[in-house]
Amino acid sequence: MSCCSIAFVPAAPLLIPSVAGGSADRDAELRAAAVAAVRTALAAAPDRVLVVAPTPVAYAGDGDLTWDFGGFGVERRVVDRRPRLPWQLGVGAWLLDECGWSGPRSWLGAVQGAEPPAEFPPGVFAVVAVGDGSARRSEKAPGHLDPRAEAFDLRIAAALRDGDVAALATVDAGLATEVMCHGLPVWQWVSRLVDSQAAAITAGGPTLHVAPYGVGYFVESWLLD
Amino acid sequence: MPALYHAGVDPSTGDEAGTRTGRVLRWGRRTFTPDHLAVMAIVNATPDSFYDRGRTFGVDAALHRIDEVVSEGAEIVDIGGIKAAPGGEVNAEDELARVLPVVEGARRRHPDLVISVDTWRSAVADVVCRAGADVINDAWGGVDPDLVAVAARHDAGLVCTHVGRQSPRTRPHRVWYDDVVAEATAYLVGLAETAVAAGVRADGIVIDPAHDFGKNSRHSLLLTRHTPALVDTGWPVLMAMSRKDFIGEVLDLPPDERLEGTLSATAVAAWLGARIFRAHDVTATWRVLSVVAAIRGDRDLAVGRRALA
Repeated sequence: MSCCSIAFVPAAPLLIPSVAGGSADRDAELRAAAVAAVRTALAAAPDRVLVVAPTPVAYAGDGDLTWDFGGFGVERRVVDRRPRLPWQLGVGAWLLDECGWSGPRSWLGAVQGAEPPAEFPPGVFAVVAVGDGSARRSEKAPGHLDPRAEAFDLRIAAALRDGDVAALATVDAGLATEVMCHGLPVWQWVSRLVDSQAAAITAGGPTLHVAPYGVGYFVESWLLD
Repeated sequence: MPALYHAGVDPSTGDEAGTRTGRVLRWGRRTFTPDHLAVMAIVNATPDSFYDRGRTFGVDAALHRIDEVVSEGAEIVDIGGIKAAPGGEVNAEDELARVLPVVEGARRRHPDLVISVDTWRSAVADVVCRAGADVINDAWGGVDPDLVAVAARHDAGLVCTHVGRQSPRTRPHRVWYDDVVAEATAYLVGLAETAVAAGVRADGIVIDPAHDFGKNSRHSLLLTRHTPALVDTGWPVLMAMSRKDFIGEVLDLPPDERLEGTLSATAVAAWLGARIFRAHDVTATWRVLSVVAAIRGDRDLAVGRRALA
């Protein structure tokens, strides 16, 4: 097995135009950056894509599973009897659709405090790592303002920009919970993956870190050799 | 302002209006029959609530506002001492200092007014009920398990609300419901039944789906669309929609430009069977409810002169 590339993208449901409704265009830049990061990862010519996202309970699956955003009150698509992915993985699935990826897909839901399996897919694979930083970046943020949140997110942003897996591996999980950061188990899983391969990382961009609604979003891509 | 509901006969069908099914609600000295639509006026004893931003903060300002809303047709006032959004800590002592004198003053000045207090704390509820409050609006949905016992002890009314898995004064974040209508309905019936089991008067309980609380805007719209699911539980339904974000997000407008949106939602929910409307804009809400009641035949004309002279 070997991972050839990793795209880091936000988990925000408003990334999906059908969820964002009339305000979808206002986040076009964020969406375009996320799509571009996934395209960069796919350009490394993987055999398969593994989507990893933070989920409330552990999840692992393979294949062309279905997903929707009905639980956010969005009209469900046509009835589909295939197993439904947790929505966080659905964000990754939507991005893969946007990029026209028709190859095999695998799915992993990572839970804070529970080690996801250190098993990786066969062949050469790319990873789409879905996850966000603190949801306490401003007074109007979902978790209200936590003065530690910005510094917390900036540290994540620097680690992603610099390909610094050691920094990701040593983020304080307790602080992450306090600042309402859901992405950490995903990034820590990624850091173990990269460690296990002892790969060199080249950042492929686009590099983006913004928090327009009080939630820290990151976009980056890594090419591994 | 009179709230006269005329039980007339619809000449086209012979049906008697004013015979809608549903429970009679008894709050304070008032009785609300199923055909009766009522305004619950919001009175914020807070310096920082999202719409009025302290306009009625302070005992004199709050009591003045209460006089005003009573003259505008409100039969119920809902007095709250803590804004719903996150912010500075307001402990039970601070909350009581804000709310209690307003309850006492309102009780003295308006013996027939139904006084509701918006609190999740049983200790606060206990004190305000002793001071004459008639209803506890448990707007954070059963956080304090002792609240129902307090309502029972004082023979007070109770508003049961659905806020999902939110703790008091937290904002919803990416909340997912497989079926928000079914979940909220079942939860509200459970709360109401728990309250009855704890000794709360069954004819003092109403249910409120709590728009925006633990919900995104689509969830709030779905609950409004499916008002009949709530009405069909048999419990009187209260709607607290005034100038909330789900209206704002439909229109992309800030709180001070959400009146028409609020009134539209009010008319629709009233038509679908909701009975009590928690509102900032009392005159406007009262007028909307009066017209809805007249259209469905539950309220007679205030003037019957056109083409009749």
